[in-house]
Amino acid sequence: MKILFLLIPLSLILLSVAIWGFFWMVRHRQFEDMDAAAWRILTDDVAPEDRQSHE
Amino acid sequence: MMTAETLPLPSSGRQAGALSSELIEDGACFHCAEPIPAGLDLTVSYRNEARPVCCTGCQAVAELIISGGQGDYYEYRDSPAARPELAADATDWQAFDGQESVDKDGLAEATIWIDGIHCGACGWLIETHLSAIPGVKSVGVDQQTGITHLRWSSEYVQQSMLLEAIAALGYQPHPLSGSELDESLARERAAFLKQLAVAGLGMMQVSMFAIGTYFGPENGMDPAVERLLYLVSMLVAAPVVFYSGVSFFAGAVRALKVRQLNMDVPVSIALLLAFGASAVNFFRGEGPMYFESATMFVFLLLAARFIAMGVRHKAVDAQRALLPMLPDAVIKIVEDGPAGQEVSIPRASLQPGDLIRVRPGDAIAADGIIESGATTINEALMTGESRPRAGHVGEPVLAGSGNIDGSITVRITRAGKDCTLSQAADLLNRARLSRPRQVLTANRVSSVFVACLLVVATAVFFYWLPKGFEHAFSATLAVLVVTCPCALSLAIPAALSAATTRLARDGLLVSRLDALEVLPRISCALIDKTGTLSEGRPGISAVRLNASHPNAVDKATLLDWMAALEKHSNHPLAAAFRDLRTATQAEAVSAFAGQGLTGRIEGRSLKLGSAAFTGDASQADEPLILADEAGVLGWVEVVDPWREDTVTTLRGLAAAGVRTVIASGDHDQRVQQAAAELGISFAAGELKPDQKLELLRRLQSEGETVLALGDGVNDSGLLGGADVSVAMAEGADLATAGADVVLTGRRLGPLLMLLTAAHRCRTIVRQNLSWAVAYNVVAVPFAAAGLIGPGLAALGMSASSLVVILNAARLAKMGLRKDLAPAGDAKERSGEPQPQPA
Repeated sequence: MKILFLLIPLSLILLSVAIWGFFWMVRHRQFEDMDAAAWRILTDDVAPEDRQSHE
Repeated sequence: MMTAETLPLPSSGRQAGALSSELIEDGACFHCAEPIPAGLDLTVSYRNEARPVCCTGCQAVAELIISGGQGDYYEYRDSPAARPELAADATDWQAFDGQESVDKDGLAEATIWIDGIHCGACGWLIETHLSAIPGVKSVGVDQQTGITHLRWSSEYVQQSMLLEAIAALGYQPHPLSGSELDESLARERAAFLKQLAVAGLGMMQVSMFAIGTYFGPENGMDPAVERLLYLVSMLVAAPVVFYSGVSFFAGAVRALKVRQLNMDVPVSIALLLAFGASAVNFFRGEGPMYFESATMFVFLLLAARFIAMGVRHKAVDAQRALLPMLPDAVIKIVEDGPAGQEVSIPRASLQPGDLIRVRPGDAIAADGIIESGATTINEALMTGESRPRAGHVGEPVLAGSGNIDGSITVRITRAGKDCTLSQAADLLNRARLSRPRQVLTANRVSSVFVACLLVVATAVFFYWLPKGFEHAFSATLAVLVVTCPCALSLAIPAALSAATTRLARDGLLVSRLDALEVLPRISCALIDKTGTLSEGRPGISAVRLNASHPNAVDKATLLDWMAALEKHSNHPLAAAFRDLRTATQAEAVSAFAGQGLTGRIEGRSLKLGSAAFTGDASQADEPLILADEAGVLGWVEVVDPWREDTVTTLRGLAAAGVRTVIASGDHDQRVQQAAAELGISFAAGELKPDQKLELLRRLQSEGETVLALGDGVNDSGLLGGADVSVAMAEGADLATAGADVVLTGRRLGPLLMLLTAAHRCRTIVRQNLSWAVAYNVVAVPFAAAGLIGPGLAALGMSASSLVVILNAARLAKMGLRKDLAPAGDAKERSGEPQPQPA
């Protein structure tokens, strides 16, 4: 069971990475609109040939 | 490429409540779902099928959406679109070209607020439509708030063109200037999300470690490992309590500073006890530790508050709520340059002393004095006065008033945040801050409980002290920890959030959870008249024909002609005819400020207006009169009708023991007449916003617990100061911003459902509190005697919390429609003094 002394601190590091990642997402406004993504996936994007014309 | 038709999308896979195109009823407009006027034949082609629409506005918008390839909007929206206003004038927006800021890539960027977004499909429609415009680089629509960030290359496209494109889709864009661009809500939400994430992740980790510790050294666990698990639990729980839970402590400190108790006080004490006692036990190396309870407690409470915050943020903030009432751009008359030159400037750059032109139909942008011209002014927004007044040179006008029918120039006296309309928003904020805080029943129980707990803990400590300090301390901690008032604190928020969820299904949006606790004690309802008890828009009540006219017409023709003429009018009364949706066209229509309209239909030269205008002396009570060359054709009475369930709702309130008082800004005579009609014993008219607040304060000082119900800007102070405030969602945004509860839809009836739900909620809270107290009363003696082990205590605590949550969940499913009248414990009231109007 000595491995726990390594694994548990490791899990803490993973936890801090997860929290840091979440904070990063909040800072980059990824949670400001929670609904648009659900709609976007239901519909097609602009057809590829149109897309090139205005990029 | 897959098209939407071939998209493998079972109907059950659609968003709940989606309004697909097949669900539009026959005879209803394909775009806005309003009824189509008889004889009108307008259609749009949608998926090779002709679908009927109700007006050219809807037709234009629908064709634009379908031809732009965004027809899927009609499959995924969850409610019909608003009927588009008259096409926006693109020249209005040109004031904003060149005003935008430029980012590091050389792209122009602007933040605008789009009014009229009501579902995800709207946000999607705007995003895809704007993205297809050459030069537009990014479009970000926040469909909750309507705040939209745009970035574009100004070589290809101008801001005015983008604003015009949004308006063409049937939404109302409002560019935001620096002061209106309030990011505080977004920041609050971001901070809250972070706290919630730390609490959630922390809770999961600590609970996982806790399961390990339940086995303990007695089952062969290495004591060093157990110690490690506790250490890690403490390390993780600390940020959960002191970072995520900081708002509880801050709230408790604020309340204690003003010597009051709120829900945060017992919550904070519970948290500090649970964490502090566990930490002390950790360092002592013995005794139970409950880090997992503390973290779970923080997470559950934060989650409930996060939901309430979402509702609160949906009601837009007070300053932004003013935007739809004011024009975005104004016409300024340049006085120091070439004489009479007029330029369009953004409203935000208007200064006192400027001279502006206000065209007929426009709203007045700032407070000022009429310098030239004559018109009719609609001040319903500020005064609640339902009939417009004449505006002459030298008279003051208020921002937000409508200029109905004459072109005037106005010298600005107060602009921006100084104008009366902004002051109303301030009044709201101040009234809210000074609202008499209720000491809620549940909080009192919690506080009493916490006080008892502290007494018991002290007693236990001194009882065991003769056996040694260590022993006494250990027993005391056991008492404190086992009673960690988890169930007690959850008893209230769990019930409130379940009831809130239930009410939202019936169109009642609760933005302040405490309101549900105050509602059962409401003794008096202070209600606005225009727009609240009444529909707030004119309706035709009676039609009389002049039989002696040589060339008389029937009723339908009379109304049709009147509607055709009124189509050209901005007068508030014209709204009475809008529902008729006439297809008849009147020619050569001209409006006479403050008097009426003239025009030609079927070769007759018609006059529509007051008695004086049409030359009819027989009428005293000012109906609308239609006349032609040969005389009067007919009379139409226009009134503001009561809502369909106003009378039954008032009866329901009376049955629940709630006294109703009308507080209106309208003419006192009309208010008294309305009160008599509705059987209300006390009504006050001609009240300004601050006088309404004064009346409210007097009722409160007489010991009434007052519910305020209103819809307008002039109700905002009232709503801010009431014990519980309810606003009509269709009213001014400023009113809904200040309300605890927002009533969607066009009925008053849900108010009674709100009272019923509040009573049920109180019952459940009481059951929960009794259970929590009973649990603790049983558990404490055992803990004090040192008989409860850590595992058993944890089990007991989880079970008691679960019982509380499950009991509260019953509220989310309660049926409200069956018994609309609340079975309240209303006091008998008789012979009490009536307050006098201010």
